[in-house]
Amino acid sequence: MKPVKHSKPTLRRKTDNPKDAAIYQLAGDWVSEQADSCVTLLDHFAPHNDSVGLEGAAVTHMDITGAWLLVNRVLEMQRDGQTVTLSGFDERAAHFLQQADDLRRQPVQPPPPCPTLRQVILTKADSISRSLLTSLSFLGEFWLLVGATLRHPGTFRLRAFVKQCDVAAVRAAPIVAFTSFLIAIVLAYQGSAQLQRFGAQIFSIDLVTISVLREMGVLLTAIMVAGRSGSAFAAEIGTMKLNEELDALKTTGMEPMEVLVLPRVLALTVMMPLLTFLGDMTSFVGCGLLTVSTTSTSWQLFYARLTGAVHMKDFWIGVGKAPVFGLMIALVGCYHGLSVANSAESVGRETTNAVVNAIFAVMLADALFSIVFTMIGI
Amino acid sequence: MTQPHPSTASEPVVSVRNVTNRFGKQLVHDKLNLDIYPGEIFAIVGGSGSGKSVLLRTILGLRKPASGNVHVLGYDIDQLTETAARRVHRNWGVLYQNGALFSALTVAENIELPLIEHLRLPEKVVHELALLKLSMVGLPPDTAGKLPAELSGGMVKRAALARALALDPKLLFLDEPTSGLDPIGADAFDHLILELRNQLVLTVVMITHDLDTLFGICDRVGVLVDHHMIAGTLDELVKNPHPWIKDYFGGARAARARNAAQQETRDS
Repeated sequence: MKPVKHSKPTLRRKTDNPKDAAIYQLAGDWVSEQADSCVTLLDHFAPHNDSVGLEGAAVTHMDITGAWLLVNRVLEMQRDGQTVTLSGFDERAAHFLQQADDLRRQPVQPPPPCPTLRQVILTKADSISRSLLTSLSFLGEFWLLVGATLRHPGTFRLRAFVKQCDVAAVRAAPIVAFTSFLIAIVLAYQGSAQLQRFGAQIFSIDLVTISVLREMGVLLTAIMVAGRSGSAFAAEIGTMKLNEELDALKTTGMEPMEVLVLPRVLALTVMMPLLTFLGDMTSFVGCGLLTVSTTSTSWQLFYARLTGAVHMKDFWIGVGKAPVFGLMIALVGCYHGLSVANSAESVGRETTNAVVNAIFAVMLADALFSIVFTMIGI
Repeated sequence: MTQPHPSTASEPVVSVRNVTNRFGKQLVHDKLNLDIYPGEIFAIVGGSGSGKSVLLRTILGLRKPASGNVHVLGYDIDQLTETAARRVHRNWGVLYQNGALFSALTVAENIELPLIEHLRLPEKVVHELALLKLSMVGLPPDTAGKLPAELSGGMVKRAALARALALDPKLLFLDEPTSGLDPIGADAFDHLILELRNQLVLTVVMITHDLDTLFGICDRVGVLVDHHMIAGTLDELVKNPHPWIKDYFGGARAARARNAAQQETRDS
C-alpha cells in the first residue's frame, strides 16, 4: 500500500457572475505534504465581500494541518469583520476543522521578553561565580579525600588506579613518543638552519635538547595527555552522570569522588613524569637523527655534544613539573565530567571545556614555574 | 475494538516476509512473517530476548536482516531510493522507548525539526503547527519552550509522540509507550493513542508489555515465540495451545486486565 501522491489544493470562486454571493470552492488535498501550497493559496485569498462562503465538498483529503491552516485564515477574515461560512466538508474534515478552531481560540501566551543587557551581565556573573564556588568545593572535597585516604590507605581503589594508569597513560605512550620525535626533528631543522648563518650549526643540539628537557617535552606531553585522557575523563564521567550511574554509585555507598576521581587523578600524577621522560628520550633520537643525517656530525659527536650541553638540572626541571601538570589535567577533566547536566550537548561542552581549560591551566602554571625558577636562579 | 475496522482484505501497510535475524550463531528470527493492515492497532509481545526490538529495528530499516525482506507502505525498506526514503520517512512516526528527544533542543524545536526538514513553510507557521501538535497530545503550551531534561517521564513520552505526529503520518511505531508511566498516566496514554488513531486514521504498531494496553486498545496481537510470530486477535490467542502464550494470557494479571477491559467496554 503505497502512500497516495497528494494533488495540489485549489481554491476557486464558484462562478464568475459577480452578482452571486462570494462562494469559493475548495478542492484537492489539504494535507501537510501540500502545506506550502496551502499557505501560498491562503495568503493570496483576499475576497472583498462582506460575506464569504467556503464549500468543501470537492476536497479529497484533509488532515489536521490543512484544517488548521484554513481555520487560521478564516479567523483572520472574521477579525477583519467578514462573515465566513464553511459548508459541504465531509465528516472527518469537519471534525478536524472543529478541532483546529477550538485550538486556535485558546489564548496564546506571549513569548518571554528579550533579556536586557543588565540581565545578561547579571546572569553571566552569577554563573561565573557559581562555577568558581563549585570548582572550589570540588577542590576542597578532593584534598579532604586525599587526607582521609592517607589516614586510611585501605580505602584506596588500587585496581581502578592500575587500570587508569594503563588506559590513560600507558596507551598514550606511542602517540606521546611519536609527537615528541617529530617536534624534535622540526626544532632541530629550524635551529640548524638559523644557526648555520653564524657557523654555529652544532649548537642546534644544545638548543633542541635543553629546550626539550626544560619546556617542550613536558608541555607537549601535557597537551597530548589533556587532549587524549583529560577529555576522556570528562566524557566518561559525564556520560555516567547522564545515565544515573553516579547516583547508583552513591546509593550503593560508593563516593564517585573516591571511586572515579581519585584513581584517575593519581594515575595521571604518577604517570605524567614517566611519559615526559619517554617524550624527552624520543626527542633526543629525533634531534640526533636529523643532525646526523643533514650535517657532517657523527653520532659520537652528537652524543658528546649532548652530554656536554645537558645538565641533570634541566632534566629535573622538566620532569619535576610533570606531576603537577598531570594532577591539573586530571582534576580539570574530572571536574568538568561531574559538571555535566542533563543533555548530550552538555557532555560535548564540558569535554571541550576540560581540554581547553586543562591546557590553559598547564600553560599558566608553566609560566609561574618559569618566573619562580628565574627568581631562585635555576 | 472500535471503528475504523481493520480490514484484512486490503493491502498490508507493513509486510515482513521470511525474515531471518541472527547475532553470530544465536538465531533471533527464523523466516518470520508478519502483516499489519491499515487502521489497526497491532501489538508485538514476547519474552525478554525474544527479539521484539530487533524486529522493530528491522521494520524501521535500522537493521538489515540476514535474509528475507520487509515492505513498509509498499516500499522495500532495504532498497529505498532517495525519494522513496523521503516518502517513507514523512509518512511514519516513531516513538522511542525513552522518547529520544534531542536534548539540546526545546520541545517546540524538537517538533519543528521534521517539519523544517520535510516542508517549506514560513517560520511562524512551523512554530504554530508545533504548538498544535503539542496540544493534540495534551501538553500545555508552556512546555514548548522547555528542554527535554525539564520534563517528567510522562511529559517526555507525550512530547515525543507530538514529534512523531509532526508530519501527520499514516503509520505510527511505538516502543513500549506506557513503560515507566504510572497506571493513571498509562491509561491516559492508551486513550490518547486510541483517540488519535480514530481521529487521524493511523495504523499503530507497538511493542508493549502492558496487559491493560493489550486488552484495552489493541485490535490484533503478534506473539514472538520460538523465533516465529503468531498473530491474531486476542480471542484467538487466548485459545492458542502454545505453552508460553497460555502462560502469558492465562495468568492472573492477564485475567484481571481482561476483566477490567470488558468492564470498561460495558460501562461506556
